Amino acid sequence: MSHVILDLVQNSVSAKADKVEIKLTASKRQDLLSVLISDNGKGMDEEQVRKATNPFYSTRETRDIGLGLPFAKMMAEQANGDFKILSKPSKGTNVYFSFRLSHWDCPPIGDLSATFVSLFIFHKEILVIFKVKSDDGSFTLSNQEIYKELSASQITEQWVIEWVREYFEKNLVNTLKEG
Amino acid sequence: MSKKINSLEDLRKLRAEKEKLTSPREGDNIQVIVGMGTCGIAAGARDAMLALLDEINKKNLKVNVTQTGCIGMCEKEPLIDVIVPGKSRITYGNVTADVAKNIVSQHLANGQIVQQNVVGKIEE
Ligand code: FES
Repeated sequence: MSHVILDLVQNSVSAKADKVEIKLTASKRQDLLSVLISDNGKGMDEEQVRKATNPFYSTRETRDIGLGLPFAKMMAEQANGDFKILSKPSKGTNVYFSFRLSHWDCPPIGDLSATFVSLFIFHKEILVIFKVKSDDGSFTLSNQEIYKELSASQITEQWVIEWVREYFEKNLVNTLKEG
Repeated sequence: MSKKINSLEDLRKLRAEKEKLTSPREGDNIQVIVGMGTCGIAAGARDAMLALLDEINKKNLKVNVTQTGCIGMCEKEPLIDVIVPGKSRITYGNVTADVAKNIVSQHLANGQIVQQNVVGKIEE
């Protein structure tokens, strides 16, 4: 699932968003794993939304939209979850998808910290905020708050990448433990 | 949440240490572009990219790594392009983490093209 999140944020970037928020909720109590990605990009009208979720439409005209949306939809449907897009031209896009944690086909979360690191390295110009919530905790991390501590040329240096990865991972594990 | 403040504090300290050691790298010489469209990501572009950066840093090379969306050869993903100024632009396919490391040590560091993974070439 971490791959799909990365892909969907790329969509937001292609839609010229300068702010993307990713909210991940994992709740055993509610038997729910959900992801909400909200951006302030150029948005889509109903027709475009329909096309964007249909894998057979992702051709020339929707070139800057990957297959992340149809994937997310398919995964959600298979795991008895929900899938919703709320989008308005010039207002941005909200993509929500969820799964029943207990469902067979609930996808593994995957390497979320690697996803965060990729976004951190490649999308300096936009604000990426990651929020993770579970039954007993939450944490929030944004790329910009880390950039503040660094000079531009340091962002791709290994010690920074390692630090960011570890930092994210620690917070994630802390938040999701027993979730 | 005090833990968090501590951690950013750590980063600051780490930065101070590193700045004593490493001189800032100037200019972008070689350029590497990683295809991060849907199939690229699904095929492992994210991990190839992290391996690539890891190796570049180990060898302390001056390389500018950027990303692009779909390059358009899904079956050969992950794809990366290597542009060495004054040389042909090389597109590599099926770039696993190991291949990425090879590309760094052979092509980026020594100018040797990793032939078996070349899928395209644009003459300069
Ligand atoms: S993302 Fe489709 S060819 Fe690369």
